[in-house]
Formats: sequence, structure tokens, C-alpha cells
Amino acid sequence: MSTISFEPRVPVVIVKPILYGNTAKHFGSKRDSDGHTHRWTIYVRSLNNDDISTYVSRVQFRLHETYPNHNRMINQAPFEVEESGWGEFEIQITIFFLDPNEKPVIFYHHLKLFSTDPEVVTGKRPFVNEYYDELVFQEPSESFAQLLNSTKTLIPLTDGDRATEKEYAMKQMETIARIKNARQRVRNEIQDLRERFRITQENIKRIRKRSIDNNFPPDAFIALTHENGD
Amino acid sequence: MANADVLDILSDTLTPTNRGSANKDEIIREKKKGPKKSIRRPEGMKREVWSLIAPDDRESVPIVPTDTKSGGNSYARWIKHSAMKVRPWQWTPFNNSARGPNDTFILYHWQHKTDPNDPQQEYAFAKFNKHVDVLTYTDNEYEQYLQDKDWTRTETDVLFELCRKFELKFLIIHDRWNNILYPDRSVEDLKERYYTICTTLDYARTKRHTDKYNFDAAHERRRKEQLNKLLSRTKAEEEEELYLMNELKRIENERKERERIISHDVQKFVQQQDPGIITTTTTTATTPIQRTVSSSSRRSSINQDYLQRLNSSSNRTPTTQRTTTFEPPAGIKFPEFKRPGVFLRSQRMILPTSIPNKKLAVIDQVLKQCQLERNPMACEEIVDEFNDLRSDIVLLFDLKNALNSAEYELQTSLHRLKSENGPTNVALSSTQPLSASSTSSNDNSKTQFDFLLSQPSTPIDNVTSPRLSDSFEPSNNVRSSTSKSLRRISAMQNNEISETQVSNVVSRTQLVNGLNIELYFNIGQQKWKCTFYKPLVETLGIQYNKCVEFDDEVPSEESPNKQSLSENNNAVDGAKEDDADEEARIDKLSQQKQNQNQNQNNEQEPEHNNRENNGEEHDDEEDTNNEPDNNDNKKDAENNEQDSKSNVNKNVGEHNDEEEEAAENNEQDSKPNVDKNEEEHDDEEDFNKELKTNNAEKNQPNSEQDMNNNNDGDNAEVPVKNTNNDDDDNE
Repeated sequence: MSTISFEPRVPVVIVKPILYGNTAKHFGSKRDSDGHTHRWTIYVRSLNNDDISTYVSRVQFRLHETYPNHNRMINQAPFEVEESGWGEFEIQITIFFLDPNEKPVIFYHHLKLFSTDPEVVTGKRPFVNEYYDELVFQEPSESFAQLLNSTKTLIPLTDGDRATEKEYAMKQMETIARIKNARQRVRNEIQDLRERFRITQENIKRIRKRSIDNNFPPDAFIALTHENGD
Repeated sequence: MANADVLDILSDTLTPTNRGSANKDEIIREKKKGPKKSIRRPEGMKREVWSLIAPDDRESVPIVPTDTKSGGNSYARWIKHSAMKVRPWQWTPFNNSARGPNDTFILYHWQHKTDPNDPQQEYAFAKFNKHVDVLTYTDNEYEQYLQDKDWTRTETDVLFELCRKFELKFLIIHDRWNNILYPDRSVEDLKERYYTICTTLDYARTKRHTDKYNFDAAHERRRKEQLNKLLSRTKAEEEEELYLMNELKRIENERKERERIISHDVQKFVQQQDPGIITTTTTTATTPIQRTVSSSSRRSSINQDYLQRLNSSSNRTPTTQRTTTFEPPAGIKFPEFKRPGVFLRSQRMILPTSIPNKKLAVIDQVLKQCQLERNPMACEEIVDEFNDLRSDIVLLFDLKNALNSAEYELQTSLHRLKSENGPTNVALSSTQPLSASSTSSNDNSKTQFDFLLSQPSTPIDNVTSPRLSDSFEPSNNVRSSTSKSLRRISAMQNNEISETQVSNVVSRTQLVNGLNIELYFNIGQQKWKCTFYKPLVETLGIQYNKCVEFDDEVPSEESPNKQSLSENNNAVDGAKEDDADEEARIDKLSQQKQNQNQNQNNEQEPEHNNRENNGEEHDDEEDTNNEPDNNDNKKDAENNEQDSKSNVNKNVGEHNDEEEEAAENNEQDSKPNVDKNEEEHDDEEDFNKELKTNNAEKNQPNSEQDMNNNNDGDNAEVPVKNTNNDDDDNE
């Protein structure tokens, strides 16, 4: 959900988690007319089915040029485009906000149609390729902040949605754990290598010193200076 | 005027127009006709060529430059002047005033003719006749100040007279010096006397010290002597000197180059350790490193420090006076959003484009090993941690590089030292600073592996170290292979190898879809052979294969080759020097394993044969190690694919220890290994299978040994070993 901080010192930051991605379903056969094989939907929605149109004015999906009207502007919820096609390509998504002062946010999503998961192939499960992300509003204007904070659910939470939420929460925790683990390992190695490096440096110094001592016994320098003295 | 000449020259080709006659009719007729039609330039001819020969008066450009106003063009001037008359010269007598007022010597020279009224000019060179004023002293002064034991009064007087006469030209004075009447004096002697007198006189008269008459006779003498020596060098000496200078230059350059490289690497992370201490030389770099690694508590605080700094994307500023240069932070600077506005959290995770490709690859690889995806979900905490992790990875990479170059430098220094000292008197003293855990203090080794092995880590701990950072192995295969092999061997024997002598290192490589490296060397009395595999995918580094002791095997044994071939063939490789005995045994083995998955993995079977050949010595080890491994081994034996006949002569025993270690390692790293293995299989199926891992190897021999020994062991080993036959230990 959104996090709000009210302290006057700390800058106001509001976070809105969103999901964006695409679903795809294979027709079963290749359509003769245009060679399309999949029906896909690309969407942007909130994690817990809030109505993001409270702060999103419109979402623009830029599809591949070969689509008619490849700039699809969606002005109301649900912000999604349903189309059919045969190939995967990158879709540019631009989210415009109700506050005219806020710049639109642009990001990309690679439309995936094909999957090797056997369940998807047989059609038992729809193919979903979605990403979790967060819209971070830094110091929004007051009115906008109000809009951001007043969320209303679009449709009542379904079990499916709750499940998704839980999924993501779990995934988040897992990922964090793994990252922390990895960091620990890396840090350990760094320490280890540092130690070795230090030792090596010392050895180099010792060798150098020894080399100098061997070649130039300490009194040699004095003798030399006498010879060539000015 | 030039035009007139040109006109003359060209007049032959021009149509003779009679400009002389002012015939009215003709003129009118000409006008009526209109201006004479100019002949057109023929096609194909350049414009400039045509203008040279065009018979058209109007458009012709002067052939020679005629403008002399700009003054710089001497040719133009010459042309102009060539039309003028010559300025007259005159043979004039003149008088040189520098010769003195009483001089009547008349000389002649050429001069431009001048008006007789103009006053005669002074001879131009007279002004160069400078005169020197030589001091004179009175008798009193001489008696008071100028007495000298070497010089009599008369001598001094004569000297000064000469100086006056010859204007202080000491070479002449010295030449005129009367050797007979007075003692023989060198130029320096004369000068010295003269200048000392001048200084004393000057001081006496003005009571003030000046530096006007400074003369260092001793220095002059030495200087002249040196010049004489220089002049009288023989050809041979001169050549030798040149040669030495060149050598020196070359060595200095090399050293500087290396230091530059090393210090570059060093500095990048040295300044991470202590806030604000940034050094520019490698030698001083040791001190900050020492400080940071002193205690574990300090370590953690420093980690935090440095973590904090990585978190913020602000630049580091040096705070101590020792900083002379400012280095950019070694971590990655991620884009950050401070200004008000909207942004997507994942935008903070974007890697900046300035990261070189190598580092990108390294990051990806490590992430894969840790089972992390490239773009995790973008929660706040995750983003922060992930960015920090990647920064750390880059830092690790840099650190590894720095370490490698430092080690290389160490080796070369050691080499140099050795060559300087000769082999007999190298007695590198106690290795205490070298290794925290080394046992011997009087290491007399002349090996280059001394310091490579002087790591504080024991074989078992620091499991992660070989995992992640070894994937950045440098291209120096021999060095890294040897260090790996020695680590392995130490692990196997459970002691530090650093004390014994490692010598006689021979490395052979074969490129068979990847680099197979064989390394032969001696430790103490025992000969070892280690094989490694380095896949073509550079970032995966050198994979350890196996190390065995062998007895004077002819190093020509082509085991890696056989490994690769036999794997596919499933046939006994014939080119063995072994007896048919082994083949028989091998057949027996294959029968036993006949119904096993033909899956990946192993080819090698160092077996029975080996044991029997060399078994006795190693029986004990094997026995003790067998027990935990039994069950696993059996299962593995079932799973493993037989035959690759390589290594038949090798001793299997050593693997046991490794197996234990690997087992422990596997517990921790099973998953990464699995992932890695799967990945590798996709890439390099054949060869990964061939070049097996510790597990496979050990399992094999152990299985055999088990059967031989009839030991019943408990299955203390992780079941992972059984299932993951494909484990590739990337050691």
C-alpha cells in the first residue's frame, strides 16, 4: 500500500506499488488471415486492485509499428490493451498523472507470448508475464498527495488478488533473504582477499628492501658520494 | 613592367595588331564587329592550362608576381630590383679606433659609396674591444693581506702584469708563464692566485664580502680531470656505458609501468578501507590495509562505513593530508532521485552504462551463482540491497585484479631477487608475516609458491572464496592452476604445502574445445600431476580437475585428451602404457555399472588399478575416508558412467580427502553447483562431463575401494552427492 510520512523535516514520499505485464493465450492454431497465433493483453494495474485512476490520468501503450494505431491511449481503468499477434516485441508504457506538474513515467515491457511451462502450453494456466514495481512520488503537491492517498478499490478483492498479493509478499521476502545472503558471501570474500592483498604487499616490500640491501650495502652510498662529490 | 616582358615573349603567338596606326576606319570596323570573339577553351583542358596559352590579352594573369608592397616576397623584390641600377661600392681606407689613439695603421675595405660630406663613421667593430681593469695593489696592501707561502712577491707581480697585458685570458697567460724562472703553475693555480688576491683586496678596501670573484680551484681541477677522462675513453668503454644506460632506462620504464598498473588497482579499493586515507604509492598502501584488518570489530565498523558510503551516491572526499589524488569510488554509482517528481522504483536499479562489459558479465555470473535474477522486484529494501550487492561485486572484482597484479609483482620481485643472489644464499627468513597459519619459520624454499600459499585460510574454511572470486581468474593459467592445485593438495593431505619445496613445474596445455591444462611438479620428493580445465567461456575460470601423485610417469601421457575422447566413445582408450590387466579390470567395472544412466558426468575412473599400483601407501587414508563415503559411492557408482581410461596409473587415494572437503563444500554450495552445472551442461556438455569434478572422481575410486575393502560405512555424506553427478567444482 502507500506509505506516508508526516514529519515536516522528512520529504514527503508516497509509494504506490503497481503490477504491469502481459497475459497471453494461444489460439491453438495459426489464424490464416494474418498469421496471428496469440491473444494477448498488456496491462498496468495496482497490486491490490486499487483504482489507480485516482491519480493516473491516462496510460499510453506504444505497440509495434505494424499494428494499426500503434499508440494506444487508455483514458480510464482498466488500463490495458488487448490485442492479437504472432510475435514478441517491446512495448513502451507511459503513465500520465492527474497532476499536470508531474512528468509522465516511461518504462518498457517485453511482450512475451511463448512459454515452455507445460501447464501453459496445454492451456491449463494462462501465461502471465508481469513485473512488480513501485511508483515513488517524491514531494507531490498537496492536492495530488490527497488524491494519492484516497484510494478506493475498483472491484472487491478477489481471492485471486489476495493470492497475488501474498505471492509477491513472499517473493519479496525470499529475494531479500537471498540478496542478503549473497552480500554476506561477497563481503566475506572481500575481507579475505583484502587480507591476502595486504600480505602480498608486505612481501613485496620485504623483497624490495632485501634486494636493495643486497645490491647496495648501506655504506656503499657514502663511498659513492665521496667519489663524485662536487 | 613584367607584363611588357611577357608581352614580348608571347608576341609571336599573338595576332599582330597594328596598334600603331590610329586608323579610324579600322577602329570603327573593329568596334562594329564587336569585340573580338575570344576563342573558347577546348573541352577537357584545365582552366589554368588554358589561361597559360590563351591568346587573349584581356584575361591574362601576370606570370610573375609584381607586387612588392607586402615586403615578404623576395622574388618579387628581386624582379623589381633587377630592373634597377646597382648601388655603387667603394674601396675605402679606414682606421680602427680600437687599436689605440696612436695607431696609424690604415686598412681598406668595401663600403657603399657615401657622400663625402657625411662624417666618417667609426669602425663598426671597434665597440667590441672591451677592456678589463685589473686591480693593482700597493706594497702595503701586499704585505698586509696578500702574502702567500707559495707565491713570492715577484711572481705575483709578474702574474698581474700578464693579466693586465693579456686581458685576463688565462690560457694565454699560462702559456706565457715563465717555467724556468718560476715554478710551474697550472691554469688553475694562476687563476686561484689571482682571484684570491682580488677577493682579499676587495674585502680589504670595501670591508664587504662580495661574490664577484668566486673561484673554486679544486672543483675546476676535478672537472677538467673528468673531462679528460671522458675524452680519453676507449671505444669499448663508451659502448658499454651506452648499453648500461639503455638497460637502466628500460628497467625503470618497466618498473614504472607495473607500479602504475598495480597502484591503479590498489588505490581503487584501498581508499575504501579507511575513510579519507588515499595513498598514491603502493608501499604506503600497506599501512592502511594493516589497520583495517586488525580486528574484527573494526572490520565490521569499516564495513558499515563503507556500506554507508556506497549507499549514498555522493562522492567521497579525502580528509587527511596524505591524499594527493582523488579516486572515484570503486563501487557503482546508481542513479538517484532527489528532486521532487515521480519515478519508478526500478529505475533506481538500472546499471549505469559506464560499467565495462567485463564487469557486467562478472555481476551476472555472481548473481546466477547466488540464484538471483537480474532484475528482482522493485521494493525499496530490495533495491537498496541489490544495488549494494552489485557494488560489492564490482569491488570484489577489482580487488581480485589488484591482488593478482600484486602477486605477479611479488613473483617477479622474487625472481629478481633470486637471480641477484644466486641460488645458494637465498634464505628468506621467517614467514611469520607471510602466513598466519604457516607452521615452519625457517622456510628455505626457493620456490615461487611460497607467497602464493601464504594465505591465512585453511583448506576447509572460506568455502565461498574459491567459489565466487575464482570465477574472475586471470589469464595466467599456470599460476592460477598451480595455486589451485596446491590448495587442493594441501586439502588432501591436511597440511600446508607451503613449507615443502615445489619445484620443477612443467605445464602443458591442449586446446580441445576448451583449454586442458596439465601441470607437473614436485613437492618434496613426490611428483604430482594435476589437470585442469578451462572452458572457453572466459568468465567461468579454471576448473579444477584432479591432482594425483604419480611415479615418474612420462609426462607425455595424454590423459586429458583421452578423457575427452573416451567419454564419447565409451571404449577403452588404447594408447595406454598400462598392462592389459587394467583393461580387464576396467571391463569388469563397466559390467558392474552397465545399467546406469548414461548420464553426464563421469568418464574417469581411476580405479582399482591405481590402487593396486600405488595403493599401499595410501591405504590408510583411504580406509578412514571410505567409511563416510561408502553408500554414496555405491550409489554413485551406479549412476556414474564408466570408462574413461585416463589416469590409470594414477593414484586414487588422494581423492579421498578431497572428497570430504568437497562434501562439506557441497553442503553449502549444492544449489549453486546445481545451477551452475545445469548451465554448463547446456554450454559445454561434452567437456564438462569429461572433465569431472571431485565428486565423480572420488566416488568412483571410493566405490571400487569399497568393494575391495569391504568396508561398511555409514552414509554421512550429503545425498547431494549422489544426485548431482554433474557437480563441477569450480576450484
